[in-house]
Amino acid sequence: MITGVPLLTSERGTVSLPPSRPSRNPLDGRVAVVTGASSGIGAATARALVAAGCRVALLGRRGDRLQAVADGTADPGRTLVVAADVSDGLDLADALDALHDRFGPADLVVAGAGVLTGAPFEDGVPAEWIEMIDVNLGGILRTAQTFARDLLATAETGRAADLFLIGALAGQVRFPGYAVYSAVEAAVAQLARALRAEYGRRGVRVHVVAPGLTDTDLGSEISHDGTARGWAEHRDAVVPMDPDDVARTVLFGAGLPPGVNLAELLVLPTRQDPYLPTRRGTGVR
Amino acid sequence: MRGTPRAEEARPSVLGRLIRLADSDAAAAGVLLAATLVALVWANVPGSTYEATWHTPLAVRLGDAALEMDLRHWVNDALMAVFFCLISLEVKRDLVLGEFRDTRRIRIPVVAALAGLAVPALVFLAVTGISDQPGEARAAWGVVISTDTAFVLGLLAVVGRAVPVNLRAFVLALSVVDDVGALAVIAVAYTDELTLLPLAVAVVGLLAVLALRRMRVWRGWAYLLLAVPVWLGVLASGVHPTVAGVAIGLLLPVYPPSADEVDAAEAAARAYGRTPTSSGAHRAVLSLTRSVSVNERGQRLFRPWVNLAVVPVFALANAGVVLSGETLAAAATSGLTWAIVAGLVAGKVVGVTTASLAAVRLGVGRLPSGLFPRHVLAAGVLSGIGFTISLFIIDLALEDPVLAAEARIGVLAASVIAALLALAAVAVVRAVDRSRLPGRQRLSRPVRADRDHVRGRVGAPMELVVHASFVFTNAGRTAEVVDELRQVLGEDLVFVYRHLLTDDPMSARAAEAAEAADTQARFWPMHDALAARAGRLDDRAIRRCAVDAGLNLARVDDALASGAHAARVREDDDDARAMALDEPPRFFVNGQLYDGPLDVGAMRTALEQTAGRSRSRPPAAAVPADAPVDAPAEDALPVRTPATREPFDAEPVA
Repeated sequence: MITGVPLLTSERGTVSLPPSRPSRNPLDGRVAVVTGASSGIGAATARALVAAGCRVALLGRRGDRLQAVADGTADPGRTLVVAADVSDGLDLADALDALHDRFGPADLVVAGAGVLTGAPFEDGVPAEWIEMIDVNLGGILRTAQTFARDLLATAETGRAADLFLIGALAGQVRFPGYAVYSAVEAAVAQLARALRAEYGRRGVRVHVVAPGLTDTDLGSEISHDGTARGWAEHRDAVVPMDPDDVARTVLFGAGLPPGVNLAELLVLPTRQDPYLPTRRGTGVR
Repeated sequence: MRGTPRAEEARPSVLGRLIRLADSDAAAAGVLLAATLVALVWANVPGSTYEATWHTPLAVRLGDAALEMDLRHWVNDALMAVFFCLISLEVKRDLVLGEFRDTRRIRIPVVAALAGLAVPALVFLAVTGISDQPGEARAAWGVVISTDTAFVLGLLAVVGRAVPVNLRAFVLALSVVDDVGALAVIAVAYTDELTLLPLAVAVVGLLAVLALRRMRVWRGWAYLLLAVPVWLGVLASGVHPTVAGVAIGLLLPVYPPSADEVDAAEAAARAYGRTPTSSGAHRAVLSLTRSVSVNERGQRLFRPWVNLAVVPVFALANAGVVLSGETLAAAATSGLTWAIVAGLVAGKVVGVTTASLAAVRLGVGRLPSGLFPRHVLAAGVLSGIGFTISLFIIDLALEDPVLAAEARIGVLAASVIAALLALAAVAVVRAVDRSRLPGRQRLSRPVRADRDHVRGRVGAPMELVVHASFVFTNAGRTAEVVDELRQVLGEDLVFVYRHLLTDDPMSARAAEAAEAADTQARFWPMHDALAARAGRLDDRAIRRCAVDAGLNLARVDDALASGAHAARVREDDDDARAMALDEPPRFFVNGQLYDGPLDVGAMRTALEQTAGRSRSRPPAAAVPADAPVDAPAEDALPVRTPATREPFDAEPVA
């Protein structure tokens, strides 16, 4: 049943695209880098990429957890685990060197590392703002820059070169209590657009994926009691998405022919829409 | 680092203050002088107990074995071994890590010291010969051969910054070679019988010290344990036991702190900071201790004791010369007294000065940097202070109490005369140094804002240019001193960094990385990052600095790989070589080469004294039109091509 894009097949159902060219797994043999790969959407994306035939470098702060994720993939032999903090450029430079030694230049980069904290603005903790800016935006900037030369070189040969920035729904709608997170994620989305303008003409596809509520440990570090409670209630009310399903949208975008860029994806749980603040004026606190 | 109060400074204990005081040569000289005066008074009061006291026997007994000496010998043979050990530790450090690492620079003090031993002895023999002295007096030629290291260093400390810092190193080397020579003379000329077996024991002990060093043993007590049998062996052999101190001092390991050990110490201290447990503290202390060589720890440990106890007690035990009208009158007409004065005062100056200058002229070696013949002359006068060993040899050489008294008075007189002459010589040298200042080496390439790395405003009244490298160990210290000067002098100071490479290839790598940072307009953050890691730089550390300085690492890597900035670095280095600058850091104060110590006070004085003399002028107001543009023109264009091609900055923000 391998037709167009077999990656969209899972036990939950099959989404088939009409085959646009002779059947060949378009992701087979690509070299991918995933940051934030120790958990959540990053880990799910890494697993999916390995399953699709990619060689994948898993980057994250916690080496042991990365190794566990790598061991759980379809072929651990096609993974490379690099403990790296995206807020440290030298860690990323080391990861680049390690990747080149093992698999060669990257042609698919998923910048997935991110943290989420929130609080009523007047109670917000400035250090948490700085961390969000440095990891969610700064980490993406450093990751993108570190691997930019690889992507540009790949694109020059006419092959697909992808840079996925994992943003968030919060960059598009306004959640009370998450002003800074929202601003940072909006910046990520705008960064993707600006980079697309700069790199699109050089053949690199820049995508931004903005998932809604996903079943990850994102939000577990919210220090403000009220906001943490609101977050938990929101998770109870909305059935969060499986990160594997979000990962499939990344693979879908990456699997399209090089001439097509699925530029912006808003991926939501079907039942989240009624809880968005624009509709009800309440939403998460 | 700065701004972190050290516990010791915040609440100095009485003992801590005392130890810091004792660390200075000036305090040491003061205490020594006081002890000398006390000894003189004590020896001359009616019914004095001076001689009797110092002849009191003191015995250490273990079973049948007993070591019995009178108090004076305990002081002269045991305590003074510690003193000589400290001196030879200092010299060893200078030989391995300091000024005399370049062997061409140690040769001159050695030649000077040898001549300083021989010429005074010849003068002494000539004068005693002419005045027809008895044979016993003539045999006392050893009295005039040695310089009193403690007094000389103390005197230099009192005059302090008036003399170049290397004069102290020169005099120190001179006086140690001289002390070793004098000890050899004592051993050969004034040792009645030499017993070989104990000497062999001492030699075995010294070999064991060497073995410990080879095994990289770093704990001080291991060496201290060996020192005891070595000392006993030398004592029993009939050679002067202070030789043991000199030998051990020269053999103890000395090395610069290695990057790995400093890092390990830092990590251990940090670990203790996170979890302050007693075992953590122990680990941190061991780790810190280990990173400093035994030699340098030994110096730190011994110096206060030597300065405050050993040397003053020695003076107290030896300087008590009986001065009566009778003895003074006899001395004034005694050929022996005058022979000592002539030997020490004239013989030393002539020997040290002529031999040094002749050796330099013959190309045997070179004077330490910053020293000129006038400084050598001053060193010669200083070395006429011959107190310690002179009195010591009098005891050995002269049995006749009348001759001994004449000789003691001669030594006192010569030392006082030499000290007064030395003070005068230092004053003259200082005046000459001042007047010669404008004639010194000038900065060949004037500072230009568009070429140089400048902190401050070009054209400020005070200008400090450094030719330096990031790889040598006190690069960090250099940066600290400069930062402090910038804080003190504010906008009146402009600081300029230029390169001066060392033999270490990492020196060029770091310099080129700093230039690469300059193309990203972040030279100074990179400079600070490199300076903070100075002395322990490798390729990885340089990349870490680049990241910490907020640089685009890939561009730095490219620049280093292609050698894009090698020419720019080479240009600075060539300038430095052309000005005969040898090793970093070399400072130019207001356009003139600076010879003084790396010290905020001294450098500030030099800057202020010559303010306004630099030839650098502020740049013209207009920025040159051909200012280099780093980015390719394509990337500077707006995303959408505007109707008229305007610079990107002018694009209205939507």
